[in-house]
Amino acid sequence: MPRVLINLPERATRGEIIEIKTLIQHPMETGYRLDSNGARIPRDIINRFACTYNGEEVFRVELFPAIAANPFIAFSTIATETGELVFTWTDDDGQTQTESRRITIE
Amino acid sequence: MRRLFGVALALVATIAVAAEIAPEARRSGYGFASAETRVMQDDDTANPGMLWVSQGEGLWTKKAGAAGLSCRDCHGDAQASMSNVAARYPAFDAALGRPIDLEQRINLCRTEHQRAEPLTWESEDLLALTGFVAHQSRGLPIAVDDNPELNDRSTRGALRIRRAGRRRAGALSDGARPWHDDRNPGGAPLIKRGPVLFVRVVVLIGEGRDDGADLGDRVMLDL
Repeated sequence: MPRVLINLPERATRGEIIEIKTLIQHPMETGYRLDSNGARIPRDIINRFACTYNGEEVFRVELFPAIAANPFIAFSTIATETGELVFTWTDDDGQTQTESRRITIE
Repeated sequence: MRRLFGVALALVATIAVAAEIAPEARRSGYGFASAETRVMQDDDTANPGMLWVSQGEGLWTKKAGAAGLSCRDCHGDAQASMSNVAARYPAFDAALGRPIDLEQRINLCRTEHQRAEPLTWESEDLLALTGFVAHQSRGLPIAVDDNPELNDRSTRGALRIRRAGRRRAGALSDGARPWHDDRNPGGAPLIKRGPVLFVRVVVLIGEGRDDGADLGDRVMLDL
């Protein structure tokens, strides 16, 4: 189970632009490296990250082998209503990691 | 008398003697970091090191070895028991008769108290546990013991050489390992650098003259 760090404000005023920072532990193996025996290390990267806000997608990114290990993704959205932000990372094996955080609008 | 060619080779070996720095004059490596690195370190949710700290937090409570003990079973809450511990390392271990660093201390705990296999150097688990323990000393000044044995140049030098060769991860990831080729783990280092001994070779090549004024090209190599 990869470790995840997410930073977003717990409270915001309606219409405010909030910054969301996410960091996930992942080797992001490019598929171009060789191991000590000269065998190719298979590619294993997170290729997709998405964030939904009360079910509506507000941010999505495709990732490629040039992204460093433990990808840090920061983005912003507009705080519209109290609810839940769901973050989903998908890797080459089709495994997904899902995290959610609540935000309260005052 | 006229010399046609003159080649002079001078070998200057300098042993850099590390002068003690007064405690109040000591500065954290943070002060030397670039602005970007500092910003990353200041924000725990942007600092990838915190991933290992949280992993170490999980390992702290995980039972291991034949004794079936976790770190917490002996040490309790790390926040209280491990505060200031990392600041005291490296420390002199009387039983071993040599200085040990925090990773070695953790592995001694594993073999002696948990009766488990020591963790592999640079392994995720050892880095995570060390990171977690060291995190409890965050912001505290380094308070390494004034033990004369620890400060003995030979034992301190031995520790430094060992650390330099093995460590990579750290606040600035500036161990000696970056000089090794990552794709050739365990292979010969690309650059060998001794920790305290610098050898400067000055090679003077060219046509020598009677007055010795022009010695031609000069090549300097720092080894």
